[in-house]
Amino acid sequence: MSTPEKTSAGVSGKFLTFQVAEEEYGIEINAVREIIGTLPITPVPGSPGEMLGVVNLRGKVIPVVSMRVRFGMQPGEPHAENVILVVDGRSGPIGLFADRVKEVANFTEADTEPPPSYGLSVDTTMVKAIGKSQGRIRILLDIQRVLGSTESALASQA
Amino acid sequence: MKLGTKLILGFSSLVVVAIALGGVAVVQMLSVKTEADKLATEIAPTVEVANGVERFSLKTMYANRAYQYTGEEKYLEEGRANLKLVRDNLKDAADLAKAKNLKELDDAQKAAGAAVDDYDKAVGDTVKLDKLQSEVLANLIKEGVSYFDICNKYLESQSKILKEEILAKAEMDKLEELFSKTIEINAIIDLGNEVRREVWKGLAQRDPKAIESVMANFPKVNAKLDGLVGKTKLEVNLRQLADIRTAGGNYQKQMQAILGVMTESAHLGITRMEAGNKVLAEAQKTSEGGIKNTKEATAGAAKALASASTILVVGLIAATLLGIALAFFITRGITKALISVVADMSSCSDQTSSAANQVASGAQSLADGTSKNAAALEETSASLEEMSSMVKQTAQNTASAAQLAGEGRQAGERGAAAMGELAKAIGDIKANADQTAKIVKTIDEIAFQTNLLALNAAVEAARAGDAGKGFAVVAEEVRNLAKRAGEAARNTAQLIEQSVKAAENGVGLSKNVTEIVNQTTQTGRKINDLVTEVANSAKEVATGIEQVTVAVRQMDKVTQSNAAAAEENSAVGEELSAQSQTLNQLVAQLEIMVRGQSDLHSGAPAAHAPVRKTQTAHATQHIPEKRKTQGASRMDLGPVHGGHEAAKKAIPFDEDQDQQSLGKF
Repeated sequence: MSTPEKTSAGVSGKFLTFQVAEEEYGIEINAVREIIGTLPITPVPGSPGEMLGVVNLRGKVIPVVSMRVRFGMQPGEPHAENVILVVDGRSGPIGLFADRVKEVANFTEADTEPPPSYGLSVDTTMVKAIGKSQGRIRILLDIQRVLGSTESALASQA
Repeated sequence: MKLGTKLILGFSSLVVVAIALGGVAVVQMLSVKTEADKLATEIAPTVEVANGVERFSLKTMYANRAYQYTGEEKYLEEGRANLKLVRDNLKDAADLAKAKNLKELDDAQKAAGAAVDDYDKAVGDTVKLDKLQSEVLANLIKEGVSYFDICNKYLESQSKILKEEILAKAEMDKLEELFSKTIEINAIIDLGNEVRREVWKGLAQRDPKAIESVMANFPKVNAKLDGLVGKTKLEVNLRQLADIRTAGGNYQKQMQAILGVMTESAHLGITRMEAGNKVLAEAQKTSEGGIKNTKEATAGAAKALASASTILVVGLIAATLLGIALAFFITRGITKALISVVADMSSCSDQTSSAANQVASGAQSLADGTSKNAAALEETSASLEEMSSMVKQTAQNTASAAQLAGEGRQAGERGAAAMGELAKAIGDIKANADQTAKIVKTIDEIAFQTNLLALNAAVEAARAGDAGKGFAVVAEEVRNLAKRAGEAARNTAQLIEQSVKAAENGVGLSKNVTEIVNQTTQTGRKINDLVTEVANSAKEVATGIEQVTVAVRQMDKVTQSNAAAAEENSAVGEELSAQSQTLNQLVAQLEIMVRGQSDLHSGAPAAHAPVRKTQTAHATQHIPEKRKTQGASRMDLGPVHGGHEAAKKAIPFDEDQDQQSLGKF
């Protein structure tokens, strides 16, 4: 297992890619615990806006966060291809509600570039690098930063 | 107000003015005539008579004066003749005065008559006096002769004595005495001569003074005689001297007689002159009165004529002004009314003309149309007979058509049943396709789950690090399979979906076809019924057509007579058109009469004139053309139509009507 090294030039390694709205994003595969289809989501009163609710995953209750809301977009209509990516948060697993799961992709340093200082539809502090392999653009996210504000909000509630 | 009333009022007012003027003139003329009559019958004869009296009086006076101077009888006769004329004139004056009751003239005449009588008497006295004077003169001459004879005898005797004494050489005293006696007697002779000379001079000059002046000679003579008597001794001589004295006394007596005659003659002359002058004065007075009257009469006449002429001039001016005003207003009123009437007539006549043209062309086209109708009716009659046979044929055909329609209906019913079965089969296909679609969906879900599983496996393999590399490859393969399975399922789902749609379409179509077939079946049934009815109807139609044929023959006859009537109408229409052209010309003449030739081209209705001209020109071309056409052939309509088109171009108004009437052709 190779740990990704943070270089000024970029990042490399395997990333699980998924689709939110029209864009494709990637997270480090080590952060992923499992991928599940949609389950009935129970809303939790008083939770932050991006949190859709909680699901029962094999007897364990985990919160589910909407990536669309997290990225500042309008929540989309649910459909058959919606998936929940279960990742390791600091206080346990958290479900990321995405529109579609794409693949496990391998990025070299040459395939990545540091994010631009502005102009993206998401907060650039959440972006680790921009993947440019296969002629496409995929935004590689820093999962801890993605979860940061949500987890702190959840923690303050706990 | 009526036209007649206007004219009668205008002329009546003029006639009233004329009568008033005429009356004034007549009154003035009558007064002038009275004056003139007076002048002619009273004054002029009066003046004439007065002039006659004056003239003849003067002539009488001249004649009598001539008589007085000359003593010739012819002057006396002439004076008497003229005096008679004076009396005649006076008689005329008396008659005139009596006839005309002229007092002044009568008075003058009477006065003049009295004067004439005086004059006449004076003339008579003058004649007597004249005779007396002649006698006295004869005595005077005789006495004078005897005086001078005795004187001469005495002188001769004394001269003889003187001679004898001288011869006798008598004493000087004696001689001287004798000589003085001779001188004395010569003085006496001279005195006598002087008397005689003065007497003749006085007679010649009608001057009594000359005669009176020598009266003083007689005492001188007597004195001388006394002296002689004293000297004379001879008895003879003494007697002679006494005779001389006697003769001288006689002579003096005669001279005194002459003087008396002369005085009386002068007195008579004055009387005559006075009488004559009186006559003349009366005549002149009368004449002057007459002239004065004449002047007055003529002045009155002139005044009357002047006032009459003034009144007439003023009246004539007033009448002329009134006449002009009346003429202007009446003429204006009449002309205005006439102009509007003429304008209306003109437009009416134009409309009538165009209407007549339309009637003519309409009648012509009616005639042509009726002729065509007749021909068409003949054709119709023939066609009807053909139709009759065709209808019979149709009746037979419809019977077979009814049979065929029945067969068609049966075939349609079979088709409907087959379509029901087809619809059911298509429904089955659809149900199967639905089932298949469900299965394919399940396969798709399985492929999705498999994909998730493969990804989870890949995640696990990655977590496992190098130990999981082989597992990662397997997971990748599984994922590829799942992806292919999903794609196949999706493709299949699309196909199944298309099949389902096709099946649904099939179901809809088969329903439609079924309905159509059902309708066709029903329609076939109806067709069958209808064709049967048609077959029955066709028979009735055949009967009807025969009746129609009979009716068409009657129509043909009626149409023939209509055609004749329409041609008559056409002729009447042309006649009407010609009459309306004449009416147009008459209206134009009337317009010229009312407006005058020059106004006709400048006034508002002048716009009509060119139109009418064009129209008239057209009419003169149009009518003969039409008649010619009619004469040639009544079916040959070409030139008539051409003419009408030309008319339409020439006459811009009523275009719509023209087009409508043309459209009927």
